[in-house]
Amino acid sequence: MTNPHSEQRKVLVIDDDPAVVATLADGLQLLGDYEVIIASDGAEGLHSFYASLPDCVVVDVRMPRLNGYQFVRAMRGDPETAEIPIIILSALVQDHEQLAGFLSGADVYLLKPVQIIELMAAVDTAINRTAEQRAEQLRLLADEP
Amino acid sequence: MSNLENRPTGLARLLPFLSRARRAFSILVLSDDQRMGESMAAVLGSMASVVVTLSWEAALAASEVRRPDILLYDFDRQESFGWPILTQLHATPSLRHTLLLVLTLRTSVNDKIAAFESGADDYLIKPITADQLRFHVQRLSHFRQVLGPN
Repeated sequence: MTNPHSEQRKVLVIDDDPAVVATLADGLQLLGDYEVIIASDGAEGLHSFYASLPDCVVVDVRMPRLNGYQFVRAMRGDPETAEIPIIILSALVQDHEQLAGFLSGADVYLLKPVQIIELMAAVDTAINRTAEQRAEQLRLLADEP
Repeated sequence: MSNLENRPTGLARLLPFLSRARRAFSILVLSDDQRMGESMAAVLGSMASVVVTLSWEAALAASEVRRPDILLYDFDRQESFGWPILTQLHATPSLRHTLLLVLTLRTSVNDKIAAFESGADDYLIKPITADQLRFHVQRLSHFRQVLGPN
């Protein structure tokens, strides 16, 4: 589902806070030359995903309609989208909340507020992750050897 | 994994919390396909207590006795099954703290959104391997333990 015909990476940012979305989109476009698609909740995010086929998704947790956990599970539960790099970017800082994000299937969990340089590094990390690394993390979280 | 491992949000630091989430859990299967329901029970029976039901009424009765951690809703064969049943499951008091996992052949975005807006917590598209089902259910069980009842 990546876009092999373009050097410019495409990132879908899903957050119901317009100020957060604007800041992230501006930063990623200006500093990272990413193409940024935005959506304001998980349901809109799913539609946007299939319309734009991004290389990576950055998603908030607390949102109307589908929350971030549900969005990530929707992606991981479909073989067509199970390997899409996903970053949760959330203000939920507690350990159990971060673990819940990983258990849902996120590759990376970042805390708000985030610096753009930090987000770009996370996007690269998520995109460069192999299917084997992703499967290994999910097995680890499922207590499987 | 990466240099992000060393950051405060790295997974390695969080994994010890997972051990506290391990405990016995129960699964209620509601399926419109008896063979599929029995197959799921066989796959999941080694990791959880599993009961299979084949109708909404039977699922309701079983939920009142067992208060399952996860309800696995598998449907595609019968028209009487669908999102309205999921909405009813979500509104059932005895399933208030139960996570709802949908297992289906339906792949459209609108179906996924309808499922989640009807109360689903997870959505798996068939066909699925036994390992994939076990991993997914185990992570969902951990998720419930980590975050606690809603």
